[in-house]
Amino acid sequence: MTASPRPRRKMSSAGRFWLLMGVCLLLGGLTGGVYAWLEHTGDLPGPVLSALILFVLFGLLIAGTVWWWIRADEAVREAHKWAWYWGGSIGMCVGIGALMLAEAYGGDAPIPADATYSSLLIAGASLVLLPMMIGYGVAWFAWWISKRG
Amino acid sequence: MNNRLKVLRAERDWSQADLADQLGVSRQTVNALETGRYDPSLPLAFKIARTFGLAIEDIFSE
Repeated sequence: MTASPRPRRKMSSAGRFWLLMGVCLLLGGLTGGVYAWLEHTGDLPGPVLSALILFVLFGLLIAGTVWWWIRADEAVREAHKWAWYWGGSIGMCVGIGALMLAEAYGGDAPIPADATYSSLLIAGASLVLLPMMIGYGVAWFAWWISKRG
Repeated sequence: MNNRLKVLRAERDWSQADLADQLGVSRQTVNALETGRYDPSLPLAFKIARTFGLAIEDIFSE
């Protein structure tokens, strides 16, 4: 076996991550901006067309994450898998616990007058998703901190 | 698991980024490997051994 020469630099893992985040932000921002403008002008497309647009948008975003995942090294993947399992699972427990408490003790609370069906749906989903996302982030950070010298 | 990655890298005057480039991993991964707190997969261990021109057991020990 012989030692290899120094290869030329490729885009770093962090570079690919921020490129993907930038593309996600751009696509999400662009779609949100166009929809806000269409809502303002009263030309909002129907639910079928909107679903199709979202399907294409999320398809592009998932394709981007596949591109990133294939190029991510094993430790980067391990950190995400660990974060998904521990952070996501514990976050989900917190969220479900909050839902159970809301159901047990807040079931008779009056619904705000300005609440809509969709706003209540989003509030309920956020109650579970938010702790999961926070848990994921904390666990991911903890994994890397635990491996540092 | 213990390893001699840091010493071997220093002997060649490579930075963590240099070694990361050669292994096709991130610099953070090289750092995690050097601390001994992250054990590489068998394919990565072979790649590390090839990069240094050594056998796996010359780099890693229990």
